[in-house]
Amino acid sequence: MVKRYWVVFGAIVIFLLGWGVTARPAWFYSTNYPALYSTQQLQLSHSSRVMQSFLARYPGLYRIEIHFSNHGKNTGRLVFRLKESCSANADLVTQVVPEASIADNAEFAFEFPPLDQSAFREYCLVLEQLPDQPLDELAVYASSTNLYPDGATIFDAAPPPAHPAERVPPAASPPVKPRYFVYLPAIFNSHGSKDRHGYDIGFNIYYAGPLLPTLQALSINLARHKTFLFGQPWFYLAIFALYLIGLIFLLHYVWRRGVNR
Amino acid sequence: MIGFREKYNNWAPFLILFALALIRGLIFISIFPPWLAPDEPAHFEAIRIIGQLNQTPTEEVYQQTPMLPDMLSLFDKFSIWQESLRTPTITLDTTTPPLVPFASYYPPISQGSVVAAGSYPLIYHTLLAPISAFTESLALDQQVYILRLVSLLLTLAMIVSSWFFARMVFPNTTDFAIAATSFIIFLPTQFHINTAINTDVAATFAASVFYLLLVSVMVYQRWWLWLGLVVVTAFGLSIKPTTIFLAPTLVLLISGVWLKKYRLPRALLFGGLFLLVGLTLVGAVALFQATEARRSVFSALQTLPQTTNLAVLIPTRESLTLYFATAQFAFVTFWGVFGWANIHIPFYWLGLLAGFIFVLLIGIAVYYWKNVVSSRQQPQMLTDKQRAILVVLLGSVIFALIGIFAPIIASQTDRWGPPGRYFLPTLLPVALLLYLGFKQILPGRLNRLAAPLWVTIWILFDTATLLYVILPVIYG
Repeated sequence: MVKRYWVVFGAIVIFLLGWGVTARPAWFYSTNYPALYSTQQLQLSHSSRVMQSFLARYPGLYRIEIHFSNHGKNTGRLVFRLKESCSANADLVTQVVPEASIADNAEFAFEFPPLDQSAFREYCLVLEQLPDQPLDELAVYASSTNLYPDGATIFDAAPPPAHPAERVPPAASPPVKPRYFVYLPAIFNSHGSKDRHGYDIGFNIYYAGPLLPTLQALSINLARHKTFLFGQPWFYLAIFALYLIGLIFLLHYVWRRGVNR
Repeated sequence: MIGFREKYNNWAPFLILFALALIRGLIFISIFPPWLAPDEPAHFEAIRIIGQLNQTPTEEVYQQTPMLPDMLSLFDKFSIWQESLRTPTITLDTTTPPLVPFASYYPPISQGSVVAAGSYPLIYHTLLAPISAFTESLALDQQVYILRLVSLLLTLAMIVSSWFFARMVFPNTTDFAIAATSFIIFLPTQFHINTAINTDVAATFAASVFYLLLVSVMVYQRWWLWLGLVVVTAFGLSIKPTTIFLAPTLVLLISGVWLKKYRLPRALLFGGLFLLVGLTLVGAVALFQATEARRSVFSALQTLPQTTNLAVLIPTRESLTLYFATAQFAFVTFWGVFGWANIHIPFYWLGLLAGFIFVLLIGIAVYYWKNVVSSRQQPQMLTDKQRAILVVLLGSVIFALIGIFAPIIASQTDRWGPPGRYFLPTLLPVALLLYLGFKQILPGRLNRLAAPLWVTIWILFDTATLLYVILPVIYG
């Protein structure tokens, strides 16, 4: 009994040792994940606004995260609008949030009821301050060249203020952690934008659509731009179905053999 | 006479695994867009220059070979730079002379990533060049997919080798073959790398045939198997430096066969093995130091006394820090890094994996001590032949580690990675040894479920990687 406890204890120690040696290596981020957001900050004020067009690829768009810089003791309020296009008058979604609730150098999420018909539709998000707000140090991280292929940023810059606050160059930001998320089958989230080095703001979009339309959209996205059979959406449904059948066969075979031994 | 049931039990798992490997190969070929694999544009371009331009891809040729507009448009169409979290090195104008050469657009990481004659073996590219020539009239992405299908054929051949390799080592049951082959099939990085266009797939294929012949030689001892083994060794060595461990493995095998007739004590045999490992380490470091300037091996050997600096073998605090960091990088990239090293599994998954693998390594050590080294274990689980095979396999893995880390030890820099794909040629023995370690650590009453548990673990890991990492990052 005592020997068994030592074996278990030893196994746990070895396991934790193994876990420890793969503690997140900082060099891996610095060499492979450059600070893609840190090249620009688009300052928000009551005379300027940021608009970003994007393409939603799945149904159920329900959450958009924006990467903000928020240095000051901001007391104003930020308006988030979602439109069908940057020139549209009507808003699909409007939210007003206190700027004080937005953390510095972090994503802030705007959530709304899922748009079930969002698959392959273009949208435009708009960020601006309410009028008559104090001049706050709130900005959206962006990059200096256009990298996001499915949209672009429009930045209506404000004129220089009468007493410009001293602009501190943005410090070298820590690299943005790539997003990983549950995708299928139970929780339908999906990472929207992965581009940094472009005249685009840093944002992520999430979906929570129904299963079958999401699978359909996935097969269309998988087939997009591809050739041969790989350009056919049905190919992916068929190949993954075959794969699932093969897995079931294999697991059934090995477990039946093992249990019957 | 073998009945139908027994034949079914012998062949059904192989056929199921082969079918799964084929399906997985098609999945990985299709879900990773063209170019989104390590150095795939560079290898494709080298094959294209040989096959379609009838030129040897030297540095001079690269400077004169413009970036193909179709290649550029594919980079844009599939958002490769965005997927890789990078910016293009330069803004290209592919229509106004002077046209920008491919070598200026790619590589994104280092200047050495173009596959140039004189600094990179071109056997793989030369062998695939006729296929490139045959497909010249097709669109560029179609050419990529066809070359990827060739990689899939090589990978399927490797899967077949793995099955028969494990069956020969443990002929009394299919459990080991099922476990080892399943591990290889459901290792996601393996299928990602080995269904792309690169020399790793050729190196892995050559090494798999080497291991199959090695075990065949030890079991059947036919002269033509020996001949095949020597030929495959030479072929493997010519493909990529990551297969250099095949040479000392062959030496180990020959030494073992030659010494067997003298019935030397085990202590002496294992002492000789340690000596061979030590000599391999010293030789690998010295050889790398002599050839680092990319001189030929023959000219480098002449200057060996001047270039050799074995003081690098003495561990220091800085060197140990370097080795730890590079080992960490190798581990991370072996288990869960995809694309241009930008798509990776969550680090806490890696932590769990590392813990699990550490425990398995202890299991391997215990298994070897009990069944291979010690003669006190009764009843004996292994035959003499099996013990000899396991010694050679373990030796080959050690030689592979030496070969891959020798550049780092010799240069005392992390310039040489090593990326985890450099270890793929050792997949066959690694898969088998890890399963042996798993069986060793399992409690006795669970041992009959070792194979199904093992297969299930790797299927779960692979499925999670596909659904939670690869698909969302690329197609989100």
